Order: sequence, then structure tokens, then C-alpha cells
Amino acid sequence: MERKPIKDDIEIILKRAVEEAVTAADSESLENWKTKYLGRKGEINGLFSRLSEFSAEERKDAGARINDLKNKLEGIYGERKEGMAEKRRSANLSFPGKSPSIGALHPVTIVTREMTAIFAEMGFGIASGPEIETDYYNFEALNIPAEHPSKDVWDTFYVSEKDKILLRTHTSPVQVRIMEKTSPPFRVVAVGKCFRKDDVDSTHSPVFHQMEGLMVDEGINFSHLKGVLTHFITRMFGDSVKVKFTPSFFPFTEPSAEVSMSCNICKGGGCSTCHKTGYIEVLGCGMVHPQVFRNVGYDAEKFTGFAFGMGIERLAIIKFGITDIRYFYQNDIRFIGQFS
Amino acid sequence: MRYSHKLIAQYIGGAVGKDELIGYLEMLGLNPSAIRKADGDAVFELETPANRGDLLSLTGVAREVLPFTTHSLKMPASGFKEKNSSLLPVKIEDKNDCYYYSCRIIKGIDPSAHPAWLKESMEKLGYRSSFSVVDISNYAMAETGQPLHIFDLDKIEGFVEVRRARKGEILTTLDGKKRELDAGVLVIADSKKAVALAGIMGGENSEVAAHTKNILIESAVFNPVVVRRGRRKLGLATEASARFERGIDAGCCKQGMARAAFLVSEICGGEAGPLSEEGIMDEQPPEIRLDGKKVDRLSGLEIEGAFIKNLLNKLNFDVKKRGSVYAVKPPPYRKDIREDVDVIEEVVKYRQYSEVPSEMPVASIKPTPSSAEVEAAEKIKDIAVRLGFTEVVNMGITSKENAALPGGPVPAEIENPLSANLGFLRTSLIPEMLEAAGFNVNREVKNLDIFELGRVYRKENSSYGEEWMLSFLSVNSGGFFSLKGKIHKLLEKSGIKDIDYASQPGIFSKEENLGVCCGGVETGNIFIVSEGIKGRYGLQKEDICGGEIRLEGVREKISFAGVFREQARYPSSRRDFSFVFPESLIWKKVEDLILSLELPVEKIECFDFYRGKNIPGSSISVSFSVIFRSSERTLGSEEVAGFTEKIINAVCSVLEGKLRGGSGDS
Repeated sequence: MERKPIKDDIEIILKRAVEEAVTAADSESLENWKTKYLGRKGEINGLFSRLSEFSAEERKDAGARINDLKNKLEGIYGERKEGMAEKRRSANLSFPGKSPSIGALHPVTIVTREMTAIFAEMGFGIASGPEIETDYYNFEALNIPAEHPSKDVWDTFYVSEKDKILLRTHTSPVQVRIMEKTSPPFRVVAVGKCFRKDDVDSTHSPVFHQMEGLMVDEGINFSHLKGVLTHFITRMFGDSVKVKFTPSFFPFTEPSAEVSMSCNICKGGGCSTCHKTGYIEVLGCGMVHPQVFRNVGYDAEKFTGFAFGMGIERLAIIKFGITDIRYFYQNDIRFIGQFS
Repeated sequence: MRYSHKLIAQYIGGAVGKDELIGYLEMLGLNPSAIRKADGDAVFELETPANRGDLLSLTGVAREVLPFTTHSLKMPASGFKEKNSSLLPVKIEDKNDCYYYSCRIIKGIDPSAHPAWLKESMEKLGYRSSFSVVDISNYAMAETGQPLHIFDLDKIEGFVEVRRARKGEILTTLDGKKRELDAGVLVIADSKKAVALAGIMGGENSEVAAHTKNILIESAVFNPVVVRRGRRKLGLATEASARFERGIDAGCCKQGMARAAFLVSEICGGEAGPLSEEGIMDEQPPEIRLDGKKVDRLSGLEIEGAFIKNLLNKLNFDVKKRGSVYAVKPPPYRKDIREDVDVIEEVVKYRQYSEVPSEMPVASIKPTPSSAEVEAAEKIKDIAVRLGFTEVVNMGITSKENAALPGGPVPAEIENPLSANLGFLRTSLIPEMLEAAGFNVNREVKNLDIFELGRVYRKENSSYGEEWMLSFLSVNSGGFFSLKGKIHKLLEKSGIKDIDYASQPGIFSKEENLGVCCGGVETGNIFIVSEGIKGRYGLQKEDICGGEIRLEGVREKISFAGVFREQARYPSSRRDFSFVFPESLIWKKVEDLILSLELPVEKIECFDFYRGKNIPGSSISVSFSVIFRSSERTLGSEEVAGFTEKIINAVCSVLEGKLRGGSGDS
């Protein structure tokens, strides 16, 4: 049987295809063109299918030629398509651009990063610890005795009350874990999820995030606690914010303080967010209780330190003016996308 | 507890205005809130610390603000005359449950006497006014901090005993609830029956009524832990239990009794009997050595000795100064003062926190390195966002259905959940992410690419484990291969090499699940969520695929170190191939085979695979391109044709591939 040289076929197809491509007036006819030549059952594949008719020697050459033709036709298709799209778009440039979909970080991550960055400027490292904790780390080591009313603030979820295994109610156990394996001086923050058996409402969620901070050295005093936290709050919320320290009680710090800042919503004038006081509670802090130091084997007369803890969602609420803590866990991506 | 300016001011021996008082309370951090004006008075609540039971009283708060003034405390009158000798014997079963118990009989009172000032005070304190003796016991508690109980004497038989409840003993409490008790609860009983829950609430069987003429006043000190356990067991927290849990001192107990007896005598008359008591209060306030220099060292202030001594005296501390060192003994009601730092807090508190300067510490710059785990997690989140994913954060406490997944780990269960659907800890992030997807789809956001980086938990025999998981969910967004490509890219960008995939049944799909292996370690799965699971979340109409990567499995391999490589200088040649393979083909084998030929291959890209029309039933058509490039020279077309030939031969012989179009395909 006489075989037609494939070389000729290739040239014929190329010539015809170029002509047809140039005359294709709209994208529909261009797509038809693509199917005819480059489609699964198109002419190119037709040529490939003939390869088996050739000897190994000829096949090599023919294969290369067909590949070459295919590349040319794909190039033509691309150019024509581009040209058509350009023409269509250039007709009226006033139409809006196509909106791309873009990823976003959750506001908890965004605020956490902002906070850790401020503390990093002051030399604080970042640590983490387990979320399933023992009663020892969550309470006892922090000078919170069993069966004491001071424990009531931390309404606890138990995984096994008998074995004293619980979901941590604050990030403070990380303090103890850090101190157990680090000798002073150091300064560190820890961020993570915390769990409390709180009924859900606009300001309470059974799950929330907290940032814990701890600095221990010789000669650390209450004025340093004030200095570091005042810097943090003004860096986070602006220099115009006023910061107030008032006495408070935490079993693991003594003296203890509560820190509030002038309300950034009413600028101190009094609104519903600040309960008309002009101030919003931001965090709790204090000088580390010597019993906590003794529990981890530090010399409580030699070393002093301060510790602080704050809710990430609470800071995000203040920062962005978010009206309900439940938004953080609904994962409405329209909500999440607002903050980056 | 509720307080009012006028009610507090009556115990201060000098004038203290309303705003002045509120100002002091604010300085002390007691956060007076919700101030309500009532006939020229100001009523408010305070946030009292859990270790300051002494502030749960009007005199306690008056005492607390005195150091700001030059006034002294004016204790309420409590002098009265005993007019008869009736006495009820008292027994204490275990002195460790009840340290001290006292009671006093008053006979022949006038139950109708009920002055307006008492009713008004009840109103301000937030009580509903009741019979006059009940109001008196509540009022005396508000004044002194001592919980008091008044029984109808005629309903008490024989004697009074403080004992543990007997198993199955029944008592109907004053709130009308019938309670079955056991030895975990301490009761007050007479010779026949329990008449009150000690330190918590009285019983109906000994309750005073409108006509009650003979009463028994109780004032006692119970073990705080016993009261706390009892009230938690019964789920019955009261004003009384709150005070007992925080600790009562002997002085307070005696004052409370005296004040109540005085008020009854003054208001309702009657004849008071002598005190019947049992037990002793062994109170030894600690002797604390306070170094004046430590006050400055811890506070950052310079506080003069006179201020310290004067303040502690005003707070009723016993103070002896020797040089710069003080020997300090707190009054018995200050159960919060245990060591020197507690005294220092008092000093700084009254000096005011606002007086302490704000200073930056001068510290060693010894670095505190951040946890590599946390740093890696944050970088991974950034890569995910670059790939177009939005981060979600779920609670992690979830329903049993979401946590106990067929074929998955055993979930940890919360013993005291907030609600049944929050009773388990998640073992996978995917179920909550499916819920989040449902939330968005229901709000017409139909195309989603989300990720979460969070912990999952599991129960292992009697211990519990937790680990970081990175999970993805794509809803109507590009399909399985798009997600697989993104996860692959993310792993590559995190420095992970040797990524391998193998079909295997998974939790979220039996058939369409691909196991991910990194360096031979099982690391996760990528899957098309099964119809059944989608249906469970109301997502049956959506195309959903997901993936999860155990970060623990790849932690050692994660690296974000960039490496410089010279970019190729010579042009590449691309050749396309189209084969029909047996359906069971594993793509990786094609790649491995081509790479094993040791040709100058830069890249192998599969751009199409197809099963169906024109392809025999058990076969799959695969098209791919191979890009050849030499780092030394331009490859000639002859040479590339040779490479192509080698690939075709190898693929045909080793993988049973047939070059597309052999017979029957045109």
C-alpha cells in the first residue's frame, strides 16, 4: 500500500488551519476551530494515530514534526483568543475589573500577631503549651487551692475530674511549664485557646484565646509592669489612650492589678461599651506570687517578676469595634475577610 | 452584695460624702457598679475579691476606706441584757466540720413590730422584706458579715447538734425544695430531725412564721471546705455559704450574734437567754516579717516608714518596727494576709497604683527564643493565605457525631459539658469546617476555600493526647486536583520533600481518598467528601473536597530556608505524549520511570487524563508533556527525538501503555 508522506499532510493542515483561524470571527468559531484541529478527535490526534504505520526510524521524525505542528497551532489559538478578548474588553473600559478571590487570616490571628510583635520589640519570645491540662498546672502550681472560692472565676470543663484532667481555663499554666524548664532572666508570651464553662452571650464564649506574659529577673518591680503594659496598650491602641492600673486579685500575683484604658469608642465620654465609665477593662496582671516561684523551685527572695493575661477576642473587639464575641466562631467568611 | 452610701457611712465616725466614698472604692479596685439613686442615697454593688470575705459587710467596707480619712470605725450597738436563763444544749459531732457553734434563746417577742427603716434597708440591700426577725438576721449579716439563722424555738426538740446528714435523710429547705441528703452535707439537727443545712440554708420544719414568739438565734463558724462541698453538691449557693467559704473569724461570729440579739431586743422586745456555745476558735494570725526595703524594691516607689506604720495601724494590723524591718500581725478577719507581699500590696494599694511610675525595665538581653512550633505554624498560615484560603477558627468542643468518627480515634469526652452538642473534643478539624461551610453556603457564599490550623485531641486508654492539625476544605472551588495541587505546593513551600500519595479508604470517603506520605511517614489525607457525609451537613448539592495534614508527622522536616539555584541558560524542548493505560495506573510510576531513564528531563506535567468515550472500559487515556533541558547546551531536535523514543518504548513495555491512536482511535 502506498503511503502518503506525512510531511505533506502536515503542510496542508498548517496552511488550512492558519487561513481558518484568521477568518474565525468570534470566540465560538475559534473554539470550533480548536476542536477541529486540537481536540481529542482532531486532526492532530489523527496524525499521531498514524505514527504506528511507520518504522521506528520514520516514526521519530514524524513524531517531531507533528509535535511541532501542534505547538504552532496552539500558539495561533492563544494569540487569536487573546486578540478577541482584548477587542471585547477595549470596547468599554468603564466596566469593573473581575473580582479575584483572595485568602484572609482570621481576626484572632491578626490581633495575636500584632500583640506578639509589640512584645517581640521588647524582647519577649513566644511559647505555647497544652490545652488539655492537669489540675496541678492550671490551679495548684498557680497558688489556687482546691475548694477555694477563688477557683469559681474559672468555671472548668473536666475531661476526668477523678484524674484531675481538665481543659485549661487560662494560659497561665504555660507560665509554670516555662519556669520549670527555664532559669531567669527571661521574658516570654504564650498564646492559645482557653475553655470556660460560661454560658454563651455577646461577651462570653466557652472557648476563647488568651495571651499570657511573664518576665522574671532580679530587680523587676511594679513600675516595670506598668511601663511594659502601658507601652503595649498605647502601641496597640494609639498614644492618645489613657491607661489606668487599679488593685485586683489573682491568687498567682501579689500585688495584683487590673488595667483599663480610656474607651476608644466614646473617647472617655461614657458609652454602653464602657458602661458609661469612660474606661474599658483590658487585662489582669501583677507581680508573680512568691508561692508560684517556690512551686517551680526558684529563689523567691532573689527573683521577682511580673505576669499578665488578656483575652485576644476582647482586644480584637475593642480594636475593631466588633459587637458580639460569637462572630469569631461562626466563621462567616465575609466577617473574617474584613480585617486583612 | 449590695451596699449603699448611707448604710456604710453610719459606721464611719465622721462625714464621708457619696462621691468621696465612691472614689475611694474605685481606688481600691472594688469597681462600684450600677449606681442607683434611692431617696438621696446611692446603692451599688462591688466586685470583692474571692479572698476578702470581710468585705461582704457594711462595716467591712467602712473599715476598708478609713485609711483614706482621719475618721475611725463606729461599730453598731450590741449591748443588751439577758433576762432569762433558758438555754439549749449544743453538740458538735466533729470539730473539724464546725469550729464553733453558738445559739441564744429569746422568748416572748412581739412579731408585729417592724420599723420602716428596717424595711427600707432591706430594699436597698436587695432583699425582699419578710418577718421582722428574718429581716433582722439579714440586716445583722449585712452589717457584720456573719451569717445568722433564726429558728422557731418551739419547733426545735431537745437540743441542737451539728452533724453530717444521714444517708437518705430528707430536708425541705426554705426555698421550698425537698432535698435528699447524705454524709457529704453538714446539717443542724435537733434530737429528732435535721432542721437546717449548716452554713447554707434553713429548713421549713423550723422556719419562723408571722406569729412566732420564741426564737433561737444561731451564729457559728463552719469549715469553709465542708460548706463549699455541700453547696456544690446541692447546687445551692447562698449569701451565707459565700461568706462561710471565704472564712469567718471569731470576732465576726460574736459580733453577729450580739448585734442580732440586740436588734431583736430593741425592736421586738422579748427576754434573751444566755449564750449556749461549743467549740473554740483557735486563731493564730501569722507573724510576718516585712522588710521596708522590699516594699520599695517590689513597688518601684520610695515609701517612707511613717506611711507604712500609720497605714497598718489604721488597718488594725499589729506593727512593731525594728530599724527598717517590721513585725506585722494582721487582724483575724484579714485571712488574705499570709506573707510579706500581701502586706506590700496593702501599702501600694493605699499609696495608690497611680503613684507608681511607669518605667521600662533595665534587663539582660539574654534572648528568649520563640517556640519553633509556633513560628512554623504562622508561616504555614501565610502560605495557605497566599494560595487563596481563608482561615477559620472553630471551638474544638463539639458534638459526639462530629468527634466520634467511624474509623477515627477515640474522642475525649467532657464530663460536665455546657450542652450535649458541646460535649466532646474534636478528633478532626473537618466536621466543624463542614459546619462552617454550611453556614456560608446558607448565606449564599457558595464558593469557599478555607483552612484551619488547630489542635485535635484523642483519648488513649486513660490518658489524653493532642496535636496540631492543618486542614483544608474546598467547596465548589476547582475540585479535587486543584486542592491536591495547592496542598502539595504548601508542603513543598514548607520545605517538605518526598511527598507520596496512595489511594486508601479514609474517614471522609472510602473510595475517593488519597493518603499523603511525607518521607515515608503517614501525614494525612486528601479526599472528595462522600455523599453521605455531605448530606449530614446539608451540603449534598455542593462539590466538596478536603485535606488534612498532621503537623506532628512532618515537624522535623519543616524548613523555610530558601536555596539559591542558577536559572537555566539554554532553551528547553517540550514534547507531548498521549497514552492509553490500564485504569489502575499510578501516575507516580510514569514519573519515576521517565526519571529513571536519566534523560535531561526538567519537568513532567500531566495535563489531561480521560476515561470514557472511545477509551476501552478498563483503560485510561493520559496526556502529559515532558520538558527537556540541558544545563550545558541547546538540545538538538534529533537528540530530543531520541529521548522521546526512549520514553515511548519504556512506557509501552514497563507500564503497558499504548501510544494513543493505535487501532480504533482516530
